[in-house]
Amino acid sequence: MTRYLELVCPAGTPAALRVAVDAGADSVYCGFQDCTNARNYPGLNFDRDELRAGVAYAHARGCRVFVAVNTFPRAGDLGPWQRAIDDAAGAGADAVILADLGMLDYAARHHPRLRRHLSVQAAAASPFAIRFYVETFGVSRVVLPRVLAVAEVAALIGETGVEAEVFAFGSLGTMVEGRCYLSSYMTGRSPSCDGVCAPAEHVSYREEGDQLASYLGSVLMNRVDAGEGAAYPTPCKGRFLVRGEPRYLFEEPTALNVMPLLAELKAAGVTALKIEGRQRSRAYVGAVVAAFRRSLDALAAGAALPAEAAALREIAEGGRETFGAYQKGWR
Amino acid sequence: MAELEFPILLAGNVLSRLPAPVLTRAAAVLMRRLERRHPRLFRALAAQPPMLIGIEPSDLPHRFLLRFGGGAVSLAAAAHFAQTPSATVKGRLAALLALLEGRLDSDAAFFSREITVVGNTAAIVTLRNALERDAVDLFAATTEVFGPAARVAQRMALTLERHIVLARRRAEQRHDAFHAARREPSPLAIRCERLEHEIQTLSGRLARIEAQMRRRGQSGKAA
Repeated sequence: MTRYLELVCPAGTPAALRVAVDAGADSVYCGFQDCTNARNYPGLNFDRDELRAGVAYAHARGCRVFVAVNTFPRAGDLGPWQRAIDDAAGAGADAVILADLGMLDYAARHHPRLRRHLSVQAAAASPFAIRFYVETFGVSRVVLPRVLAVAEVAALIGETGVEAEVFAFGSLGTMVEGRCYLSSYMTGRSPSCDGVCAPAEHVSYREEGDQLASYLGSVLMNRVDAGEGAAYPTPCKGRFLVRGEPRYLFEEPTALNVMPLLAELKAAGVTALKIEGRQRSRAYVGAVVAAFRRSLDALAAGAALPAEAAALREIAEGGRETFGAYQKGWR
Repeated sequence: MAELEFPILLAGNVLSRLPAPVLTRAAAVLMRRLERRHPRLFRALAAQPPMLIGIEPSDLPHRFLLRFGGGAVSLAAAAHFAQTPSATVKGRLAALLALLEGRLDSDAAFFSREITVVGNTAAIVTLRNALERDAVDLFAATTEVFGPAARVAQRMALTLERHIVLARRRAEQRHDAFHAARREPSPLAIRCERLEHEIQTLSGRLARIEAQMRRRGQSGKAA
């Protein structure tokens, strides 16, 4: 069993980094302002100076900083990804989060003392894949894809002895992570290569009578009634006509929340819990990190977990929560 | 994040009474003050391509047009948009100000339909992310106009806000009391009252019958 569950928190901006650190994050993860990370949205992320200042702020408070360089480089254009790894090392980051084999190799050769974490974008969900990354590139930690039940997480950790980080709160990824090209098919840009799913410049919302319609390019993705919650028009959360009935085929607008499973995940040997949401606000980061901090402290002290459900549901996508694949109730 | 929460009821009262041209002039002063307090935010907005954001507080008679990108940032009030904005954000004034100051999660407000976004999402995302990088304190920037007396102005504004809150609460209570007094009793309450009355009547008759029986029994023993 893990002795202490590490809380890894999102930082989309320097301000969010400070909020996360102050709210009790053990580690924060962030990215540069380009296509080298999977949250490449306008106005988000860090420039080089901001990263150095962010690392200094976090380290002064005992918090670690991981830099996500977790998209897949374009053929013949490795420069931005190599520079991102070099600059993360130069800024004093504690680890880089990587997905591409070439970038893992580059980091291992050029920055052997910089910890390498395997991004969820690598979708390493079997002992063979995990062993390969650990043995070949000296990967220290694997962020497990959101397709595993708690028992499967425990089995993977037991078989590989790997330091595992699992998602705890936020958006779900029901597709094979790092392999989803639905957005690219519709907009020409994908999370895997461009770091952006359903790019904002392709998204529009229109009021059509009493309904709010969301479009990705010219494709209608969803239409919600006046009292119904809205959602991002990502292709996986579109509502499709199935035999004439509008239905969420792949994923409903729902957020993952493992708060009631913390003890199980700890017993499974999980090292770290990851909060999703670098694209979310400071208010979100502060609320979620503080709620998880209180619960993890209570868990460590053997006390009853505080009631955080209502506050977290308010900021969850769709106003609803799920255990996702951690409890595969359909089996 | 703001040191003191914006006195929203007071602001709503003032803003709804001012004509649009006066609001536009006040907005220009406010923008200059905000630019001095948050130069990085204004530089980031100026570096964007030109964008026009419509802001529609649902509880005010005014609409606002925020222009940024390719030059100075400006905010103008109007009853209607003369130009079609790149995107429009709608919601109650309290929600819009909380978003501006980073007190409210914009995605959660959007999911719950507390705010509505229409039009070019990139413009809104750009603005949101620029605001997320700086902790804008609108209350402090607004009261800065009073110079050394800014703190006094803040205290006065907050006192007025408390008075408005209390006045509203009292009005709500009076309103509830008035309607409670006028409310006709429900059919169920009428039926319960009638049954209660019948039970009391029957209990009285039963008590009298029992007394009569006791008296008859005593006179029989005596005979």
